[in-house]
Amino acid sequence: MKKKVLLSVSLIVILMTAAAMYMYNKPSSQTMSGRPDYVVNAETFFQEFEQNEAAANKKYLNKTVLISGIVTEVQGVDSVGINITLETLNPLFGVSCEFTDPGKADKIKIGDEVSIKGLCTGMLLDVVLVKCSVEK
Amino acid sequence: MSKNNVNKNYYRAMKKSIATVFITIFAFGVSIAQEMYFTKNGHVDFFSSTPMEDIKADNNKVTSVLNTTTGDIEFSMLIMAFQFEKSLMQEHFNENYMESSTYPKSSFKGKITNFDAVNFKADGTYPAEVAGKLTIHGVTKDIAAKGTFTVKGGKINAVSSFTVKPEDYNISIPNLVRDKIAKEIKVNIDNTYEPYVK
Repeated sequence: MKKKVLLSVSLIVILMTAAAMYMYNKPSSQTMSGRPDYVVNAETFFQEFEQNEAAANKKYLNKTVLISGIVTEVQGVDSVGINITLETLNPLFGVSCEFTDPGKADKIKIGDEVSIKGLCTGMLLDVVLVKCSVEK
Repeated sequence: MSKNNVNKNYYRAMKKSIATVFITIFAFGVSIAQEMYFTKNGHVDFFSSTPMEDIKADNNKVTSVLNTTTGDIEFSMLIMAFQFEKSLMQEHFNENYMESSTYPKSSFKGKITNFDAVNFKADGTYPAEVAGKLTIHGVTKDIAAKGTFTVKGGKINAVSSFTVKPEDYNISIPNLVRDKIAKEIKVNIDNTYEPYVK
């Protein structure tokens, strides 16, 4: 009896340690999986930040967002990944999407209409999404 | 003098002054365009090394402006855009240490202090010193760092390394993980600037 208890306890401990190790060492994903928290077009999204950055931060920061819009700029940043900027009403700045995993992004051209899913990190001059993937 | 004549003179004067204003704006605009260098995809990483664990995070979305006439240099970056190898680290970094929802940005505003030694108009490599104010986690401190500017083919590359102490910026690290995070974090900057054109 005692042996059985000991065995099951040690088994549980081993399993818990393994689970903890797994959780701890889990690699960061390169894209956002799962359903987006918000679906919005680039113009509206950018305008929300332009008009009230604090409120937009509260709403979108650290959230998965699916953005649709027209591509105005494609940059292959030196060996890091691809950057795609989506058009907004602002003539200078837009929604900037960083791709760590190029996926389908390297086929995108200026003028394309796309939907991009990514993690919203906030606004500098552009509103920045990271860990992006092309959804359409 | 007829009313017509007065109007004519008035318009002539108007035209002249409008032309002057436009020429001034144009000349000014051109000179500004030539002296500003800009990047939206600058790179900043930081590295914490302890016997327990090495931690590294990268940010490739750093915005920076370099004024080659005055030597002013500015950085701005989003804390959540730092990407870690392990997802749990990234989560803890944002939620527990940096409180990124409250302080989403970090910035630097400074000046090249040995500006005379850097010639942005000629290709070459120039050792430089920069001093200014660094804001992390809502706390602003004076900081000075050494770096190198490389001017080549109309682009300017800037690299620099310096260390920051989390405690200086009111970032508290629980005792439980204190041994895993270095007392001094090494920060590396690598930006390539292009002339700013609208």
